[in-house]
Amino acid sequence: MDYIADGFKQAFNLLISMDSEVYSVIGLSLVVSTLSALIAGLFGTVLGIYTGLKAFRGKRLYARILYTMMGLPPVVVGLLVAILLSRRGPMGSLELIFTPTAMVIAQVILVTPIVTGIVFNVTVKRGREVYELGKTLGGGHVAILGLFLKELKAELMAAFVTGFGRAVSEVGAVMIVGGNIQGHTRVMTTYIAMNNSMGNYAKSIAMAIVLLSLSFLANAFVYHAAGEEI
Amino acid sequence: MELRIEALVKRHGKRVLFDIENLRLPTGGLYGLMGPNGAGKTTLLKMAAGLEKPDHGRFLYDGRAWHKGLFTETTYLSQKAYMMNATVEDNVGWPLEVRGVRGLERDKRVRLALERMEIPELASRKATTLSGGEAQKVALARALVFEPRLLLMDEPAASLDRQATELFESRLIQYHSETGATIILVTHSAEQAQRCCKELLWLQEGRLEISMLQTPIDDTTRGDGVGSF
Repeated sequence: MDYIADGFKQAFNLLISMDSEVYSVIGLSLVVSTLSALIAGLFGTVLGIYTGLKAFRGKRLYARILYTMMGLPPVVVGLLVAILLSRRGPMGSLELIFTPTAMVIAQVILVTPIVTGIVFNVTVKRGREVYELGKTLGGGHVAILGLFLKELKAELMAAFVTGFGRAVSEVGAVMIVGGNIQGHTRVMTTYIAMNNSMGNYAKSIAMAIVLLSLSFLANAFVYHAAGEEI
Repeated sequence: MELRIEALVKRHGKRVLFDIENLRLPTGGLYGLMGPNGAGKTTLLKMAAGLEKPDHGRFLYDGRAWHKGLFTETTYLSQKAYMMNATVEDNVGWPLEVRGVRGLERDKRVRLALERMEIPELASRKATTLSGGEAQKVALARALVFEPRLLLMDEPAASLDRQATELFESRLIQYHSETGATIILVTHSAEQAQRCCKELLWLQEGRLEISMLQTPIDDTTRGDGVGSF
């Protein structure tokens, strides 16, 4: 059991030693995950609101498929993106495989259904009355969208945070399409997995602490911004 | 605003909710709409408000079919009005802001609307913390502040106590006489219809009938003496 305590001790030392590799890994993780969550958040919010408000044939089936896609296995997404982007793949000429861009693409595919599903669910439950209120008080499209975003701010923020959490903690897809290349595509999760397999528990624990702390801070910031009531 | 119904049909599954041939509600009427539970009163009102579509037929507003611009001249008030997550003042001010009324003019009209509903002290309260009765008063102030020409009200006084109901009714009658707006008020109270309305619309088994309200009515024995339109 001593190695666990040692691991925490070494992790602390590693964090305060300003190890350049550790901080570049953290930086890349934040950039890739934040960008993925923002893109997926934009797509997911628009799609979730639109499909949540719109009455259309097959909406129930659509909801089932959407909820199923919220649990897409990251390795499957990683594999699909890798096949598309690999040199011999249909989009190989773009030369995106093993780049941060490929990691963003994979994470956007992974996170978009999560954000869409949460926003869709909220819109079906509460969106209709907000929409009808805006309409019956004479609001135009822009005013109603503003009202919608304001009224469902906490829920939309929660969708974004959930998406960010999924992106920042995901390992399978980024490992496949990014390749865990040092100084290029190595992120926190692939760093943890690699060091764990090499027996470098201190480095793994250090990064795990950072990962948890970042998730906590992101949650705290977003819920504070949304005007949390609890 | 004159409201005309032309060959309106609405179905819920295989059941025909209503099938109304033709009906004309002249400008400036204050109509009570009554009928048994499940008759389709809310659906009819929501269709008139442009929130639901009929399966067949249409409403005409001053001779024109529904168009988006009508949302600025009509309003629909539900039984349990939604309160925005903002102050009462901002709730009542929102319809004015979307019409470009801002600053002092907006503040003045909001204050007047709240005073008329005898709730000026609620102005800075968060609307989501109000009681059901208070929220309904705010909703009425919010619905009237932009002076709609067609007001569609779905049992707006259902959650009000007697005193608040009297205030609501007097405010509604005052608004009607001042603006000449066309108002349809869904109610389950024959007494309320009698107090507020001159004409009664009775919706039952898919048919809509209209009658004058000159003598007190008893909604348990409705059906006789109602002129078919």
